[in-house]
Amino acid sequence: MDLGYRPSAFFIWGPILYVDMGAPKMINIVCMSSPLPPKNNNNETAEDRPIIDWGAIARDPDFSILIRRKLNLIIPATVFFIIYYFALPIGVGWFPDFMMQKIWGDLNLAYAFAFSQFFMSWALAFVYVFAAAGWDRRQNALLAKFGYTSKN
Amino acid sequence: MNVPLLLSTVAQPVDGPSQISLWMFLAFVAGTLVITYFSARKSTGASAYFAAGRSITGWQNGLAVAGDYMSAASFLGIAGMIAMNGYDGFMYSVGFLVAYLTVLFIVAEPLRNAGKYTMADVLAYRLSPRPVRAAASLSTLTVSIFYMIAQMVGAGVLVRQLIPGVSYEIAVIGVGILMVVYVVFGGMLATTWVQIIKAVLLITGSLFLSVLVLNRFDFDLGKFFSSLTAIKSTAANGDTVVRNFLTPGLIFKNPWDQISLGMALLFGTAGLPHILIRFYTVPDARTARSSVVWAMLIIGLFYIMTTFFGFGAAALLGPDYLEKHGGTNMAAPELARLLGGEIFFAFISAVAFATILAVVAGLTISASTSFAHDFYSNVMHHGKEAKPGDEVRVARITAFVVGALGILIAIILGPGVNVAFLVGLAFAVAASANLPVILFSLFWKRFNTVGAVCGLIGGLLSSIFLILVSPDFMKESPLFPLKNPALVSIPFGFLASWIGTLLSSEIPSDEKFTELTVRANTGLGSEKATEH
Repeated sequence: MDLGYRPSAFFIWGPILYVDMGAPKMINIVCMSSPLPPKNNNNETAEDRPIIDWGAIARDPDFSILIRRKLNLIIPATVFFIIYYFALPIGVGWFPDFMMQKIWGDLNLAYAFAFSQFFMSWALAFVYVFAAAGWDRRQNALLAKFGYTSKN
Repeated sequence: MNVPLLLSTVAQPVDGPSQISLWMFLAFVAGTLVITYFSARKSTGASAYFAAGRSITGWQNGLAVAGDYMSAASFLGIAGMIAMNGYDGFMYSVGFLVAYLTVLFIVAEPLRNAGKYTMADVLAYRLSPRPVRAAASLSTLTVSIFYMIAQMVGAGVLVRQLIPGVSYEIAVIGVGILMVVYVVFGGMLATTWVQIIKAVLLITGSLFLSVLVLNRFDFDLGKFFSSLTAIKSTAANGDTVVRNFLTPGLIFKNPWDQISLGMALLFGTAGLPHILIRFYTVPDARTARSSVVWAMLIIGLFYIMTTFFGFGAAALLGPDYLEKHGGTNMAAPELARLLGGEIFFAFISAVAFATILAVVAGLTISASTSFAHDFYSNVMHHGKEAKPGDEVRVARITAFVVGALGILIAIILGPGVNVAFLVGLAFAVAASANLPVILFSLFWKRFNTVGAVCGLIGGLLSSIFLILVSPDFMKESPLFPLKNPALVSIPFGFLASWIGTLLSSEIPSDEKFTELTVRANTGLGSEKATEH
């Protein structure tokens, strides 16, 4: 399965269809038809999986880079959405006059700000998915270095 | 015993319009039972039963997560709150979506990478498994069962209003039997498809409702919002009051209540066991990620539409009309009756019924999975099955027992009980007991068994205690002023985990932490999809 990032597909289908390679399989309705072909054909049980040297992977500089990249996005994004979200109850709770000012016809700031939260959430999810496609590539390169695929 | 009773009621001749509702209910039930039948034929083995063979695709799981999450309380409750009091109801809608950022950023992928069937798989990974699983199972069962009882009481009240002639008890028993049938026979696969169908129905119904509302305003949003600035209603003392429904603060007078509720939603969703187990049904972390994004799209669309049908009911019907026609919960169905006649009323009613069934089925499977996998297999039998298939057998028995208990308690409590606190409790426990422990076990190397048990039990007990002394329970001079305990119980959950960890001399092994970190971040060694 290709985990790589393709800009054209990204812009045509949007992040949601892009990340969801399963979409074309939607014809597989309920359980009447045959099950999906498993994405990986490894039938080995936990016992006969190779012993993995977790420490070696953890010590690899590429692993540290992967973790750092993830945290560099996740921590600021989490702080941002928590502040953005709680600004709403704080605003309408303690600054009602400010929030009740009209900004478009009879529409007030309180409603517009509440409405904007939906787009904030979708935008952050979009950024996350975009970044995560890059993490997937790093992850696969890292695992390949140790002779594994993400299917191990 | 109860089935003939149910059928005899169903067979009674009822009036024209309610008969349409009834046929739509029955069509949904028949459809889901067919799915259950085919799932049951396929569902063999633990991975198939608990995790649908990890064969669910991203968009399917996204719909199922949305179907698992959007309860009747959201559909009917929020619509009603907006219809009766305007803006404040919409603030609920916002929190329900933003909460998924916590799920996406922090829990979905690590959980899928490092776990097998339950949240406790990740918690127990590097700690002493038996006490941690026992505590996690207790918190999961508490959240699932309380939440389920709230849904069942809601179902009983609702069905009684939607189809005259069906009593509260019969409605509760009917919902209980159906959810047990889905879970016992169809396992996770049938539950997933019930949730997917429900999500599609709910979105379709809301979309129709919203378009019909906007049609009344010539699709002019300016006109729509202007109509909300002067909504007439009758106050308790009989005076007619005119209120601007876009004004915040018509329900919530204490801003701290809103902050506390917001915390419960934002941090509780990522700890709800019935949502977390959904991420084990997909083949890998990448699909788990895409399923959260699908769920966010659907959940966001739905909650945005609460604007149109909630405010639409306020503008087109008005609070006084709703007060006379079934109260808060009937805002969406009554609006449908006004805009689309009896057939549309029947359709929206059937959607509400489907909504309840999908949520209770999700709760039943999460309770039974946790009991069978965490408590029976791992606590009582040290992770070894006495004979193959034991875990699934125990899960089926548990689902049956949980369903029977749910029916019994919902009937004993009766239709008059205030169930809002049960839902609040579920989110508060998930936020205060589950999330701190998930975070610490993933990110804090020193975190140990005592810390996990203290966090789970402390978060659980503090939430329950604070609810018992909240205004919902102690009408006069409550000890705790807020309706939702999250503002205090979440910090308490973190504190209990931290103090518990420091008080114990147990230092968990570095290797196990390294292994969990590598697993959670790369998916190496994660549970694979199985052949059916």
